[in-house]
Amino acid sequence: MTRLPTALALAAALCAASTAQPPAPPAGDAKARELFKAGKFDDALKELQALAKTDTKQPPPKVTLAAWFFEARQGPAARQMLEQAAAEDPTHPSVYLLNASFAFGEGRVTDTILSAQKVLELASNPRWNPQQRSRFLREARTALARSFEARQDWTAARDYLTEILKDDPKYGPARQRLATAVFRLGKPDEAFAELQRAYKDDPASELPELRMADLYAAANDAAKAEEWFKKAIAAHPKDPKAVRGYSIWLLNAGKGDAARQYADEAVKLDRAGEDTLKLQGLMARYSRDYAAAEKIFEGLHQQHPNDPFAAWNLALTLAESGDKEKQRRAVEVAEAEVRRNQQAPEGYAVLAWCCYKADRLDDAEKAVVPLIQAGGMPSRDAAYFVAKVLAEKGKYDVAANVLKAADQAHGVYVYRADAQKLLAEVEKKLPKKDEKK
Amino acid sequence: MAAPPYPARWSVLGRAAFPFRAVFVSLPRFAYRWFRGAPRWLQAVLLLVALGAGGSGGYYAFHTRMETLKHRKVGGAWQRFEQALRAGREPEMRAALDDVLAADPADARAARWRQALDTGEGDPGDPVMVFYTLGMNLRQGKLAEAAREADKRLAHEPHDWSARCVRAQAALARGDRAAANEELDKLISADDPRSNASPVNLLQAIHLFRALGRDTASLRNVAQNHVVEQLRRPSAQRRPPGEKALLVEFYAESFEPTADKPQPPAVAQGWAPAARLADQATDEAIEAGDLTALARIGRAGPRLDAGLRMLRRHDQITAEQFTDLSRELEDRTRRAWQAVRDKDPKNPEAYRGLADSYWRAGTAEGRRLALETTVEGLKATGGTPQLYLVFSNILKLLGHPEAAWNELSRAAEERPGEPVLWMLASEAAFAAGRRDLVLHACQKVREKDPDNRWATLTEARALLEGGYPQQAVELLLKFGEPALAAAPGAGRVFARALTEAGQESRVEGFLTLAEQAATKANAPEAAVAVLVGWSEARPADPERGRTIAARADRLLARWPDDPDLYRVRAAALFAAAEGTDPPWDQTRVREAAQAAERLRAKFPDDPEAATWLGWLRLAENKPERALADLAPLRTPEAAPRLTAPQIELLGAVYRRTGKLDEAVRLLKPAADAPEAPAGVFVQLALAYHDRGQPDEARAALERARNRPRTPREHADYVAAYRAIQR
Repeated sequence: MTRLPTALALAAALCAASTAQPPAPPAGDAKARELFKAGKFDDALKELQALAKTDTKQPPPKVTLAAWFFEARQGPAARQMLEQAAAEDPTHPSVYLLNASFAFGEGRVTDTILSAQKVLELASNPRWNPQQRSRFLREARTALARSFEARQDWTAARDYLTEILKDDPKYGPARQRLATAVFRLGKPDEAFAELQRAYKDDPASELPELRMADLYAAANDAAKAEEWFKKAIAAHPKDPKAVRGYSIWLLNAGKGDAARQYADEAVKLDRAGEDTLKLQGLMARYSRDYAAAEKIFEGLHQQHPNDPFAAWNLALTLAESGDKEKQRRAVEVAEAEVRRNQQAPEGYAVLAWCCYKADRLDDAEKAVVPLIQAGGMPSRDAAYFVAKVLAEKGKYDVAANVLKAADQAHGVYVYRADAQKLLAEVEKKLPKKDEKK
Repeated sequence: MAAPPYPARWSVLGRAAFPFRAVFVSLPRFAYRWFRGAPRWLQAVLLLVALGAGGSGGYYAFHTRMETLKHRKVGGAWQRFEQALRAGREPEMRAALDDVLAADPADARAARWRQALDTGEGDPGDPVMVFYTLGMNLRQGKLAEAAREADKRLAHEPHDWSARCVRAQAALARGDRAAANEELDKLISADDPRSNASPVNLLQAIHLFRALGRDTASLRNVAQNHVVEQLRRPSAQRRPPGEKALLVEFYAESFEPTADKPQPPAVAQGWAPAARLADQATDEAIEAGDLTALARIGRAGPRLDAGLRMLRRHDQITAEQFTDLSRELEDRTRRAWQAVRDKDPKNPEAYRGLADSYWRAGTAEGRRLALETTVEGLKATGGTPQLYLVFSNILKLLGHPEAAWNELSRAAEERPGEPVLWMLASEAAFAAGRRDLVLHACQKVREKDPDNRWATLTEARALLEGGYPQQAVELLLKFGEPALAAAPGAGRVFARALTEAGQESRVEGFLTLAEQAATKANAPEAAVAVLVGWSEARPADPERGRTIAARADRLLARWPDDPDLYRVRAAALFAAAEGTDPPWDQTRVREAAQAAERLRAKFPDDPEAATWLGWLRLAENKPERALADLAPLRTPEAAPRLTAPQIELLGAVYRRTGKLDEAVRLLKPAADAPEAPAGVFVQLALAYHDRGQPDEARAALERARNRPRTPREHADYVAAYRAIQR
C-alpha cells in the first residue's frame, strides 16, 4: 500500500473531474467539435477524453483532434497532435490510419501503404473486439486499395478490394472499384458481372452498363463506350441516368445535336431532376445560350448553395454574359466557392476566368498561382482559362505549355477552338528557336 | 356451680395464663418428681433414650439446613444461566455453570452443558441445549457441526425452521442444490407454532431462497403480516439493540421487489415505526458498542433505500417526504458504519458500507467521498479484495476503469499470493475494453495456478469477445461439457462460443445437459444461461431466434416466474422478426410484440423491452404507439445514456410522427461520432429529406452507404435511397 497516497490524490483528481461532467455524456462529439471550432483546443481535448472514457470504442482523443486540425488545414498542428497520440498509444491502429490518410492526401503513396500495412498488423491484437477489428481492417484495406490504384497496380488493388468485400459483400462502392480494377486487368466480362452485383446490392451504385461505358471512354475506346451507352439505354429505358450519361458523353465529344436528342429524352423521364437540370444548363452554356444557362444554374445554385458544380457554372455563365454587373457577381460567386472549397483546383481556374472577364487581370493572375504551383490543370477548359490569363500577362512560354498539355489531354473541351486560336497567337509571340540560340 | 381452679384473687392476666402454668410448670415439676422417685435402672434407660433422641434430632436438623443452602445456590446459578442463555451471553453462561458445579460438582446437567459449550456437541436428549449448540456452531462458521446439531433438533421438533434452514445451508455449501431445495420444501408455514419461526430464521430462509433462485413471496408475506405489526408494539422498544436491528432488517425484506405495483399498505405504514426503531437501535448499539447490531443497521440501508424509492415511485410518499426520509436513512446508515469503523478500523465492511451510502447520494460530492472512503479503507485494512472490488467498481462507474486497472495490477504484482487481485484487475481491464490486459491478468494467475478455473473461464470470455470463438471452445472443453452446463457463467460463454465457432448443432445437446442440471438444482439459471449465450451469438440468425424462443417457452412452463426467461424469449423473438429478408415479417412482429409486452409488464423499466417494442410498433406502422412505448427513453435522465441504436430508433419514431426538428436534433450529434452506425445516417437522411433539405439528405445517405450495415439497416438504407431519389 505504499502508493495509496498517490491513489488518493489520483482519486481526488478523478472525482474533481467527475464533478465537472456527468458520468455518461451524450453520444457524439458535437460539444468537443464546437469547442474546437471556437479555438478552445484544450477544452475540446478534455471533452473528447471524457467521451473516450465512457465509450472504449472511441479512437484516441488526440487522433480525433488531429483529424480536426487536418480538416481545418492546420497541418503542423495535426501532425503534432498525431505524434502525441502515437507516443501515448503506439499500438492503436487509428493512429496509423490517420497517418495513412495524411500521407495519401499529400500524395505520399508509399507512406500510405506502410501505415496501412501496420494497421493490418496491429488489428490482430486481442485488445480489439470483432467490430473494431473489422473497422480497422476495412479502412486499412481501403487505403491500400486506393494506394495501389494510384500506382496502377491493379492486381494488388483487386486483392485488397476482394478482402473488403468478403467481410461486407453489399458494399457497393468497393465492388464498383473492384470492377474497375478487374477491367484494367483486361477482364471486362468479370468487371461487368461485378458491376451488376454492385447495382443489385446497392441501388446507389452506377448503372452497370453506364459504368462500363465510362470505363471504355476512359480507355479511349469510343466505339465500345458508345456501344455500352446504348446498352445502358436499352437495359434501363425508364432510368434517366442512362440517357443523361449518353447525352453528356456526346456533348463532351462535341456532338451537341446528338446530345440534345438524349437530353430531351432525359427531360421527359425526369424533368425536375437535379442532374437533368445540370445537363440542360451545360448544353445551354456549351451552345453559348448564356441567358438560358444562367437561369438554370441560378436556380441550382440557390437550391444547392454548397454544390460547386452549380456555383462554377453560374460564375462562368455570368462571366460570359457581357454585363458588367453580372461579371462582378461572377467574381463574387467564384471567390465564395474558392473560400468554401480551397482544395478544388477547378475553383481557382473559374475565379481566374471570371476576374479576367471582369477586367481584373491582376486578380486573375493571383488566382492562377496555386494552379501553376501545383503543376497540373484540373480540366482542359481550366487550362485554357489559365493560359489566357498568362498570355495577357505576357507569359507566353508558360501559356503555350499549358495549352499544349491541354490539347493532348482527354475530356471536355468547350473552349477548344478558342484555345487553338490562342495557341497559334502565343506561338507567334514566342521567340524562335534560332533567336534563342 | 363448681369453683374455678385458680384462686379468686388472681388478676385477669393470671387467670388467662393458668393453662400454660399447668403445662410448663406443673407438668414438668410432676415429671421431675416422678423421675426422681423412679428406680435407678429406669432412670438410666430413660436418660439414654433422651440422649439418643436429642443427638439424632440435631444431626438431622444440621444436614437438612446444608442441603437447603446448596439447592438455593444451584437454583440461583441455574437461573443466571437461563438468563445468560436467553441473551446468548456465553461467558456468563460459563460462569453460571461454574457456580453450579462448585455448589454441586455432581450436577450432571451442568457437566453436560459445560461439555456442550466446550465441544459444540449438545445432548440429544436436551432440546434446549441442542438448539443452543446449533446456533453456536453456526456463529462459529462450523456448518457441518451445525447440521449435525440440526439433526438432533429435528428429532424433537421435526418442523423447526432453524434446523431445516441450517441443513439447507449446509447442503448449499457443499454444492448440493437439490438437497438444499428438498430441505426448504419441508418448511411448514411460518404461522404454524411448530415452526418456531423467528425473524432470524425468516431472514436466513430469505437468504437461502435467494441463493437458490426461489421465489421469496411467501416469506415476504410473513414479513408483511407480522413484522410490521411487531414494529408497532411497545414491547419492540424494550428489546435489546440487536433484536431491534433484526426487526428493521426483516422489515426491509417486506418490500415487494417488482416495481409494477404499489407496496402493500402495511409496508408503507411500517416505515415510520421501523425508522424510529432503527434510530433507537443505532443509538443504543453505539452506546453499548454492539458492532453486530450496528452492522445489521448498516446492511439494511441499501434495501431500505430501494424500498423508499419504490414507495416514491407509486406516490405512496411525496417528493418532499422522500427527500427527508432518504436523508434520515443515509444519516443513520452512515452513523452505524462510522461507529463500526471507529471501533474496528480494520473491518472492510464498514468502509464499503460508508462508500455505498455516499455513492447513493448521487452527487459529485457523494462520489468523491465514496472514493475517498474506499481508499482510506484500503489503507487501513492493508487492502482487502472486498475493498479493491469497491474501488474498482467506483472507478468503472466514474468512467476510469484504466485507473482501476493500474492500481489493481500494481497491488497484484506486489502481492502475488492473492490471485483475486488479478481477477479484479481483469474485470477493470474488461471495462476499459482492454482484452489484451485481461489475457495478461489470466496469464499471471495461471503462472501460480495452472488449473485455475476462473482464469480459464475469463480467458475464454476474452477470446470470445475478441472474436476467437474456436479458441474459446477449446479452452472451455477442459472442464467437460457436464461441468460447463451446470455452471451458468461458463455455460453462457460456451453456448455462444459453440455457435460463433460454427458448431451450433452441438448447442441443443448442451442445453439438454444444462436443463438436467437445472432440474437437479430446482433452479433454472443453468439452462437460462445457455439460452442467453446462444442468443448473444453473432451474427444474429432469425431462425435461431425462433428456436431459442421455443426452448424458453419449454423452460417457462416449469419456471413461470423467471425474469431472465422472459427477457431471453423477447430478445429471441425480436431477432426472429428483425432478421428476416425483408425484415419485419408481420406474423413474427406480432409474436415479438406480445413477448416484449409481457416482459414490460413484468419489468416496466426494462430499456430493452421499450426499444424492442419501439421497433416493432414502427414495423406495425403504429408510430404514435411507438412514441408512447418509448417514454422511458425520452426522459431527461435517460438522454445521456442513450446508445446509438436507441438514438436511431427514437429518430425514426420522431420522424414518423412528424417531429422532424427533434429527429434531426437527436440524430445529428450521434452521426458525428466516429463509430456511428449506418442506421443513424439513414434516419438522419430521411429526416433531412422530409424537412426539404435534399443536399443534407444525400450527404447523410452517402455516409450510410460507406458504412457496414446489418441486414435490417441495409433494407432501411435501400428504402431510404428510393424515397430520397424519388
